[in-house]
Amino acid sequence: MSTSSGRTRSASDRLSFFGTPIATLAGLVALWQLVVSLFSIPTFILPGPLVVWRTAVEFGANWVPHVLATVAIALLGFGVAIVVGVLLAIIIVHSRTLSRVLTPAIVIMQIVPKIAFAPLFLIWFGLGPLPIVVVTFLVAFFPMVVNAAVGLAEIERDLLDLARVLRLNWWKVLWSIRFPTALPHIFGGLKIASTLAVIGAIIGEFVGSNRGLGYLILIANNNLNTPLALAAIALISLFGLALYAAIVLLEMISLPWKPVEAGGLESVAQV
Amino acid sequence: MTRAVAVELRGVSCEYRTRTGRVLAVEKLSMQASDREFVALLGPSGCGKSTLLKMVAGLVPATAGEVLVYGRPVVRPLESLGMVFQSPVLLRWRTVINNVLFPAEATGRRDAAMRERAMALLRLVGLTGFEDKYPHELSGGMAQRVSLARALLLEPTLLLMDEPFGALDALTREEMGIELLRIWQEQPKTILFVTHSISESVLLADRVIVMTPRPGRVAAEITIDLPRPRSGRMRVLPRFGELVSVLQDEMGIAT
Ligand SMILES: Nc1ncnc2c1ncn2[C@@H]1O[C@H](COP(=O)(O)OP(=O)(O)OP(=O)(O)O)[C@@H](O)[C@H]1O
Ligand SMILES: [Mg+2]
Repeated sequence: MSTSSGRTRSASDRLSFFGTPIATLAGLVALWQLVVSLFSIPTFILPGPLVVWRTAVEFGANWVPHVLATVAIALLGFGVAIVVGVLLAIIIVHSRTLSRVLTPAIVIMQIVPKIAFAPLFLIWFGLGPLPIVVVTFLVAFFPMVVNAAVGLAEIERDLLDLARVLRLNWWKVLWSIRFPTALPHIFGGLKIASTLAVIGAIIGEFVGSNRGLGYLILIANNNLNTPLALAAIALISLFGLALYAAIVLLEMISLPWKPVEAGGLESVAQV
Repeated sequence: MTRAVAVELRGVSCEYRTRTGRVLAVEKLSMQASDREFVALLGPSGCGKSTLLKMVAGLVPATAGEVLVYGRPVVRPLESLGMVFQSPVLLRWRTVINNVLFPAEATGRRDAAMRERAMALLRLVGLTGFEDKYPHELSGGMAQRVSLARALLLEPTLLLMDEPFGALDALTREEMGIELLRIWQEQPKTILFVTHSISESVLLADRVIVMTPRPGRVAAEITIDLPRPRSGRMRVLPRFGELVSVLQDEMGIAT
């Protein structure tokens, strides 16, 4: 694709933008069915896509509470990660002293295996959604802080000089110069964090819950109901994809000034 | 001509400290600009012209000496200041018109009249029809003209211009210069104008200050005694040629 500077994507570009991944996916699913049928693999080891589909449809309305639980927790943890991440980034960029305190703390928090803490969260925060939200938040927030801090600090010296000539106060500098400068970076952070938030929610549910798609996978595994587990995984992926797509869409709407880049995978490359 | 002194530098030095060491950019420089005077600054690259403007603007502190604007020491940028930076410094997430209006918005003065004014300034710099473009859709010279319009929006009484026409072709450059003179005559202001072009400085300025190579000091001050209003046709006047060759001598350019 060679739309390096133009704003518009041609129709054929758009077709390959959406068409190619869909075709790839369809090919993989067909291959999967072919392998399962050809080698007559037992259903509890690897069911074919058709069986998975049938199981998913039969499960019907039973999905609703589980999907809602996982979506709510992932979105909540993601939301908290966004707010806390951006606020921490603002503090880090504005205060050298606080940055010296916060930066190592944040890095240590990222290095410590948070998932290993999940069982402890059950003890600390009790059963229920809270410990799962905490895990989700902890997994998702690091890329938010890092990306937002990089973006907020990236401002050129000349822009700061302009701000001083216009006698802007720190709040106006933050709002009308630093924040717009940081926005592309913040969107990069959102993309990574969104995928992590979904993973975080599932892991949290693995450790302790009585609802949600993660919980459902555990139950299905215990019953050797592999088709149901795979159907749950497919739904989780679908949700992750939808969240990611929503962010990409929001990015396109809020950054009309950003020249269209060549591929479309530049955002995925960041992940 | 006994006008008030608008800008005065007394024995001003400026030293930058960086990780790799110290750079003395300006050394014991003294100069004055009267109220409503058009002063051009000429000098080789790296001699401290931008540094001098930034000290007058209150962006870079002098490490020795005094910088006075209207008799007061400069500690921070004054309200009546307009500045055209050496690079356009546009906000790339704002359209052209919103870039020009940014100073008004930042100071809470954006209204319909301001918008009219911004449109008039865009017409003046030849960018009618580009109001809604984003900076990445402009050429270097167009971006520079946007930043000129932005600097003029709030009608500053002190205008500091750092090679504002550097990225323009010769013809547009002269047109813009003449337009600038017209604005300067309509709304009197003091202008410090950094340029690399000797003939541009002669065409526009009341006085040309030639700086030495770094650390910058004043090598010469030449009063341009050409009549006003100026126009491009004055280039053919013998006096114009004389002034150009005087400045060439001062700059050490063999003719
Ligand atoms: N922020 C800075 N930090 C360190 N050194 C600097 C800084 N800005 C300028 N200098 C140094 O100070 C000297 C003068 O720079 P300045 O930008 O004032 O020159 P100039 O006359 O405007 O040059 P040009 O015509 O190329 O724009 C240069 O040697 C430069 O390396
Ligand atoms: Mg310069």
